[in-house]
Amino acid sequence: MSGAVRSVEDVEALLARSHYVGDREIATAIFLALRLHRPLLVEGHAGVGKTEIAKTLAAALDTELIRLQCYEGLDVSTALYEWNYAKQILRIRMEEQSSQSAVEKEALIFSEPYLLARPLLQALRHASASPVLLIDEIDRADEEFEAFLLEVLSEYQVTIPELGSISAKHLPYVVLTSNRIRELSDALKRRCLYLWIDYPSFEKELAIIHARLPETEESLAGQICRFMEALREIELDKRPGIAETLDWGRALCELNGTSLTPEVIRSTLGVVVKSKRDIEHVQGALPGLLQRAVIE
Amino acid sequence: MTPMADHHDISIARRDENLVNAVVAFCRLLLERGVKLHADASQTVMCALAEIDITQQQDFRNALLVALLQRPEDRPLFMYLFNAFWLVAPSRSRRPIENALGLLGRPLDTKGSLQRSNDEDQKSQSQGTLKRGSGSAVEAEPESGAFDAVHAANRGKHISTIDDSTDQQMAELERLARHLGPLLATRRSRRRVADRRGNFPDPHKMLRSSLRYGGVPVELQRTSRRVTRTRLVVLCDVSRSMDEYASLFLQFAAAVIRRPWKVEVFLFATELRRVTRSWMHQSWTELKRMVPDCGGGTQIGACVTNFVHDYGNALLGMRTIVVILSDGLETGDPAQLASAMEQLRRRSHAVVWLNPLLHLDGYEPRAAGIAAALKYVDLFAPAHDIASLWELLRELRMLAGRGRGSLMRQLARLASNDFGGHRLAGVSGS
Repeated sequence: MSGAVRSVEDVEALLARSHYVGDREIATAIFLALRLHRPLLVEGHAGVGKTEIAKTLAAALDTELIRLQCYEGLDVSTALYEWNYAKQILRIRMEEQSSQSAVEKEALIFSEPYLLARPLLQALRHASASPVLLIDEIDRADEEFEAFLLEVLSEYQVTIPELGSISAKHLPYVVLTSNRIRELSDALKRRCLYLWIDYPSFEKELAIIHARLPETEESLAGQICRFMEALREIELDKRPGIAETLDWGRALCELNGTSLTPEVIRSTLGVVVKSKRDIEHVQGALPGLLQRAVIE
Repeated sequence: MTPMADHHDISIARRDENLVNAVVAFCRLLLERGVKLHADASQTVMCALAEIDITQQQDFRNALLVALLQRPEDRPLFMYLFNAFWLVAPSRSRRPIENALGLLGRPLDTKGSLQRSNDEDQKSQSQGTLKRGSGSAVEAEPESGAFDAVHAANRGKHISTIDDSTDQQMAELERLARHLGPLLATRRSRRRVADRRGNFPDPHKMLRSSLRYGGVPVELQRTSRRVTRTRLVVLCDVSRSMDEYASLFLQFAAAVIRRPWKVEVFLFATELRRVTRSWMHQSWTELKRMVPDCGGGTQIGACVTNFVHDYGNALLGMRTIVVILSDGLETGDPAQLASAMEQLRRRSHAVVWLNPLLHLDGYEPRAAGIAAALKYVDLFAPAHDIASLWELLRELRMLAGRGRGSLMRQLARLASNDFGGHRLAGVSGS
């Protein structure tokens, strides 16, 4: 599949076709991840489009996206595989009267039909083409899981004691995302290419609004972007990302807004900033912010 | 992003061998300047460069970025070094490798100033407060006169217990550090481990063992939740007013860092510095020289704010206890300290404030800074000798094992009235 991608420009074209607005750096990172078949570790603030990269990639390559959402306590049975216990027990009951030996029975119930493939195994066993495997918010999983992941990511192979090793038929393209809740281990980082996505520039954000919310009026889009740019400069507990910008744009369109006014902003502020402290903060700074957004 | 002029040419692209040498030299340069790299970084770079058109300068740089960098903090430094290394104007055309060797040779202070200038770009908001001298601070804080008096009257009192790092003291600190880990291991993880006396069934294991009995689950196999450690973040004041007091605690911190407990150490005076990694493999005698000499006042508020901003996501959370060692003599804005402490408190399991002056006669935490901060502190304790450190360990265990519910109640109570005497050994009521 990566055969179709021969240069960074190809990746840019792919992204553009899927309405993902990325800069040259993002395109280069994706290109290298595809060509070198290395996992791509994407870090950045919440809501800057990390997860979106994997989704776009899957859509652009026309392949399946397999997603593993990480959380604390995530373990092998939810990430890789699990035996279908209920089905196994039923089968044992059914076989009670049969003349099979214990060894045969064991081989029977520890076989493919009783295996529940979880995302990692699904990605490795994908039959038709290389899927995109998204390991989302890897920083939320604990260190033990990271260590386990290393084996999978370096060899693209896992071992199930009852069945033996399973190696990937088509190497999946792996995208890992992290919010930097904790520092990832060096060993994991070493196997990955690293991409840091920052908050977008004004031009990039505007392009994103155009691509994602084409119904937004030109003047309003500019105002939104300038407002967000100014908003990210003041000190907030949680600075809004692109996701918030798009939500806000959508909200303003629903309200048939054509221009930012203090009333409109006040009534929709909860879409953009999401803590009491921040809301108070923004309301205090509103005249200045608005001036920057509307002038020009 | 640094704009780059197009006439600059990546002159080493001509020959492969040169490219390899240059990449290796560049990696060495990055490492020397404190950018974090993998062991096989240059190899990754070569693989990446093989895929792209290296005559495209921007792609070339992006490929290096993607293949080399591991932390966003390193980005500004990387950009600077990239420009310095690869983008030599043809007129001055020294070859990149010589160029690199030139950069490698320079003494370390260049690095310091370099980083500072990058930091300043990023943190312009804190500049205003950072530039204020200690002179204006005295005016800002009427109580500090009385504070200084206590300070002066008691000067020298502690010296017998702290000053020299004798072998015996070191051994005792090592013992303390060893004890700290198990004391903090009180949290129940979501992760399960096999345990005969556990509370949860283990279906996987049960099915396996049931095969022995023809599918009848005879033995109940159990798991329980594993116990994990609370993280400890230490913020240590090394300003001049503290330098006689901080040494014992720093020694303790150094001993703790070398253990595999989850501990992070930061130093601060007017700015914050993370020292966990650089301290990991050093002995105390080497470290003593590395503690920066910070004259001037202490910007506790600004430093704690910076900490919450820059490291909050990575280090704070409901399993983190923050320990601050400071005399609380704030020269910045007490209101900023209060708001920073509130954030710190909200985002951590507990906050401990150690004040080495607390055992001194006549000392009361009345300076505006510390008075503002105390509201958000779970434990306010002295840390002037070994005995007080043992006491601290005991208190830390209580804090680590305590649920957050009781904590919030106490916080509410604290916020609503006074502390009932300033020398509370601990606010913990468990």
